[in-house]
Amino acid sequence: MSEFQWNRLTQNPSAQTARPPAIAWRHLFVTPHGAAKPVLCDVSGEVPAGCVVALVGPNGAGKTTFFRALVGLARFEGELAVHGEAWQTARWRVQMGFQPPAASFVGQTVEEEIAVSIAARATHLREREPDGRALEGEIRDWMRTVGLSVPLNRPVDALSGGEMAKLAIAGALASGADVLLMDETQAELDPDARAAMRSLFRRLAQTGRTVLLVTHDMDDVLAADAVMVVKDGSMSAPMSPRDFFYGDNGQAPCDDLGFEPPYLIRAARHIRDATGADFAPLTEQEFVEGWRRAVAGQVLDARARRDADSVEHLV
Amino acid sequence: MTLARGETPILSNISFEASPGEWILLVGRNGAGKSTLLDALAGIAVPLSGEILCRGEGDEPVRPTYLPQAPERLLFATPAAEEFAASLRLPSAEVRNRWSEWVAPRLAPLGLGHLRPDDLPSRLSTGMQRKFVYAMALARPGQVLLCDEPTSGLDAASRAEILDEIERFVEQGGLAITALHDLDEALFRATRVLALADGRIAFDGTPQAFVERALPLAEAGVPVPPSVRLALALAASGGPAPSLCRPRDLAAKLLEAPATGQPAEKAAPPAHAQARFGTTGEADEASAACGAAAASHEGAMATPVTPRKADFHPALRWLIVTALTIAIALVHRPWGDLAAVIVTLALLCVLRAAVRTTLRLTWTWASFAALACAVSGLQLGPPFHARWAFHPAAAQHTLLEVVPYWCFLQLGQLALARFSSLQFAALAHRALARLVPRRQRLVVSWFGALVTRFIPAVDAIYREQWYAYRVRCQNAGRAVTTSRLLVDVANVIAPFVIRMLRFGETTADAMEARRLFEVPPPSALLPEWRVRGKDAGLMAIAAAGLALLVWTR
Repeated sequence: MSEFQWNRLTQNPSAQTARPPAIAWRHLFVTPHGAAKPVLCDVSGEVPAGCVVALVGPNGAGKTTFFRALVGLARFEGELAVHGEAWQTARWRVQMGFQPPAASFVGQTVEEEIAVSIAARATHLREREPDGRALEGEIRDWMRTVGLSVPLNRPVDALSGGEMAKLAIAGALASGADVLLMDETQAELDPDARAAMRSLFRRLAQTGRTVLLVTHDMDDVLAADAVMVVKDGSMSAPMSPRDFFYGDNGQAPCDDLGFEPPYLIRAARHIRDATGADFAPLTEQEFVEGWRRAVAGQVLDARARRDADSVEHLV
Repeated sequence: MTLARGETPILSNISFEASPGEWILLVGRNGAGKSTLLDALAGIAVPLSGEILCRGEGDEPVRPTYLPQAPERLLFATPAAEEFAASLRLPSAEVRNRWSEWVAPRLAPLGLGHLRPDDLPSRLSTGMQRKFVYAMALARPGQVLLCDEPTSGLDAASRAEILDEIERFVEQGGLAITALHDLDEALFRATRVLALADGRIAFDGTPQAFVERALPLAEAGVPVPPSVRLALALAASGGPAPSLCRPRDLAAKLLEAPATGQPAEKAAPPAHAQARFGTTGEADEASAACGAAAASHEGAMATPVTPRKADFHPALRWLIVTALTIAIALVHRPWGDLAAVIVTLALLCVLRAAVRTTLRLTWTWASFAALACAVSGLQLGPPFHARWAFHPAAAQHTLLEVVPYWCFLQLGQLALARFSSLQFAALAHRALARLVPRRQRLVVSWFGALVTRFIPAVDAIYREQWYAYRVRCQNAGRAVTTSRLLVDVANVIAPFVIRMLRFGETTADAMEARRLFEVPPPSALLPEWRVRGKDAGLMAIAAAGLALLVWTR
């Protein structure tokens, strides 16, 4: 854990200060409801505030169980801290997105759903509950935060999949949470809606929120700050997506663990193998710019190979 | 063909022909009409106009096999052997006997080789259920295979296996039409792409041509897969023109054709720029997108949404409806019935009840009344009676007896309407404030909210399950008839109950995770409690109605 430099990954400057991690777990054993023995055994790790972290792994590996433990739906032993406080007192700062989102709504309209979350926050923090105009203003603020532009009185059942996912996030934020656990909430969305969710997660991270995603979509991993592999009851140390897809010495964890790399990565690897260049793009922009430099002969510069982890000097 | 979802037409004037050996990819945004088109092709939905013609070889009718979105709905919640037997139209004993010979080889490639004939597929995880349904449908497919998002929610290995199966089906002379979001791999295997946008076919041609024409298509609102976005980005900065090639070939092409001089000026980069965010320099873009979203948000909000305006004082309204209901129940005279109908009609008008609901309830009542009158007035003849006869007096008497029930139905509608489940919960919480301790009060009010909230959910799940049953019957080549339905009723009800339970379980989990059981329902949602002029008017009407009812008694 210690060798992984979280602060190199985050784009959020506030995450680099000496704040306690958004979530930290030590020697955690998690047993789901009805199971005899723990699904996750002795896992430790942490995620600083302002990061988007993807959790990947085969079905049944314990990713969902981990999330359920963090929101109090699965029994766990070990230490768990939220923003440096004990989980028991700060658990309201962690919220989870469920699949299907429609099943998690208690309100009948967008307004009601967010109002419930605001009421929940008021109760947990012993605040005064906003009323009338103030409530409506706050509901609109949360909708703006997640980019949900529908009328307040739209019934939740009439929302599209992407809008439902955004409403679930707005609800979680309104209830005072700043650590969001998204359990495959993007799986049923179309590519445009998935891309919109990715940029929403990035915006949330830039404003200090922390997002943990369980996903099978490798494009989500490309867009995350770090990726953790959950397998056979254990959890890997966090890796940067670049390490995950390109590896250190030709052996990428992505392949070893049986994930199929996306098209962009596969094409880039062929170029990398053919030229020996340090070409490890994660986005189309990086790919295009890296390729233009590569063909201009700049990649073979000795300086380029020194830091195998990064292409910042290339792009 | 012109197709509609509900009553809104979404695809108009669509025409195309397809022949065996083709694999057609349907591409389009969510809501572009892909599923509606597949429903129509499968014969589950009827086009508004136009027709679907199938010409089979010889006299054999063309049988489609349709796998809609979320195919796990198609399961009957019976053991694996029974599921296969229903699909293959074989006795389940035969399926059990030849399990390792027929069924296991179909399940093994999808990672379900461990399943035994008595295992319950509906207990598996969603991804595994999907794979099971695919294995079952592909065990004996019709001549046409229609799939809606076959790869969604599956891991990489299973995705590849499903695509292999479809390819094999096409090679053996089948026609496959699949709606797909994950196109990167499928583009290499399919023979044709149909892109839907703006209610029409925006593109019809080979995958190669689709990639070559990707830029105008992306601008026209057709989603393009990541590989094509990359090709477009390369082309925009002086790289080779987009074409369909494997990653290895793309790499080779890029290495051999170096970028020529200056990149083409990126005049408004296409959709790909927004669709992805990188590690650097895209914060502005994200915030710009955010600004745009906020702007459109303002636009949407500018239209005045009617806030919780209390039309009438809710408590008074409830009291009036209850009082009139009791009064009507006490009157049993023809004139009293007339008065009751007049009073109810007046209330329906004043409280502006939905005409549609009123008519629906009237229809329900009328069918009940007709049945009741027939039962009381009709003498059937042998063997029940000496001879056939009808007694109008008895029928009329019954009619007068059931008239008040029409009033009760309508008043019930007035008593229930316009209260959301959360308002109901907040009301219950407030009403019990002095009587019940906090904890019990919270449980009671949230329980009430959930019960009223999930009535529409039950309705939606039931309709989904009914749709799935029709698809399943269609796939097995069976017509849905009343007699079949009576035999099969468990096959609709059992999966319905399972889905309901799962839905409820997720709701309970979500509420527990949000710790809502400790939170009082937000009373800010309740309407204002203020008696206004029109409440007095309502009271006057109610008083007049009560007086009329008492007088006729």
